[in-house]
Amino acid sequence: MPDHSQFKESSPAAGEFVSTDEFQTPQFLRRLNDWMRWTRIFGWMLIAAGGLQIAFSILGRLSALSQLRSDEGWGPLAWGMILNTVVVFAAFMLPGIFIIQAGRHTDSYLRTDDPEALVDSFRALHHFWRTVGIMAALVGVLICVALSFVLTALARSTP
Amino acid sequence: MNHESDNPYASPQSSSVDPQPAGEFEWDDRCDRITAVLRRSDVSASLAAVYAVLYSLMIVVAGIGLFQMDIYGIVEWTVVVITILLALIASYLLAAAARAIWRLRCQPGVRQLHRVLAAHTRLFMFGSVTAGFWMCGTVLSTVLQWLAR
Repeated sequence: MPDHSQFKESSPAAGEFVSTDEFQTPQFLRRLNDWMRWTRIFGWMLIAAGGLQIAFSILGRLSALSQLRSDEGWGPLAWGMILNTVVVFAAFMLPGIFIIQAGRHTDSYLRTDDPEALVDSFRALHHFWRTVGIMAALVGVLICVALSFVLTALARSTP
Repeated sequence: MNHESDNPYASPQSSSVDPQPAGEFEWDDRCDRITAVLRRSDVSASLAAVYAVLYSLMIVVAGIGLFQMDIYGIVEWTVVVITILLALIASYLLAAAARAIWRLRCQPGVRQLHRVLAAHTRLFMFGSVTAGFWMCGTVLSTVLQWLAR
């Protein structure tokens, strides 16, 4: 089994082992190495950004809760917090988890030469895109509905 | 070794692959499987790109509205312009990644996989840097607001 470490940082010198397999060329392995690094960083960034949004949302609503009058219910605030948490989790943290998985599978492929790990890596990338696509479609529909309301209101207010 | 029967992601090309020497068939089979898996992401990636364009347009429209109201100072306008630029760059990179996945349909193979990986690496690099700046900005502005109270 070829040693990938010799391909990671530099081009192979004369006399070094060069595989004829397209999946094991120095260029492809270097590309995979870069990809693995940035998928991991991006995944953790997505999780951190989602966590920060959820934390700020909870803090903001707790602050609003403390200013509620005694006759006002806390139900809408709680539901808003739950909905926001679910949306942020689905839009940021879930894709982040998938993309970290993709990076881990790629790392496993680079370390062990297990071809199945490479397929798993791209499968995780597919899960990432599917989640992002579903959320983009949902939020896009919401934006269109909101825009239609705004435009309708503007049209009514115009004499 | 027969991979056709236990391969749920095999693309139509799998059956038309030329006979390979022993040891290389498995890798070509993986290439087909990776291509088949990625092909299923093309619509999702396109949706994300369309959403990013829609979002950029929304910010531009909101920016024009705010400009007409004339309530923002130089700092706020800088933030608005930077946000519009970042949204446009994100749209471009998302569209490039989606295009690279779409092109796998007509050019399946390792060469196109190179392009897919490169497009995604650029997108993730940009996303990481932008998310980092966004988080720093959010935390900093919150702390400054809290100190100003």
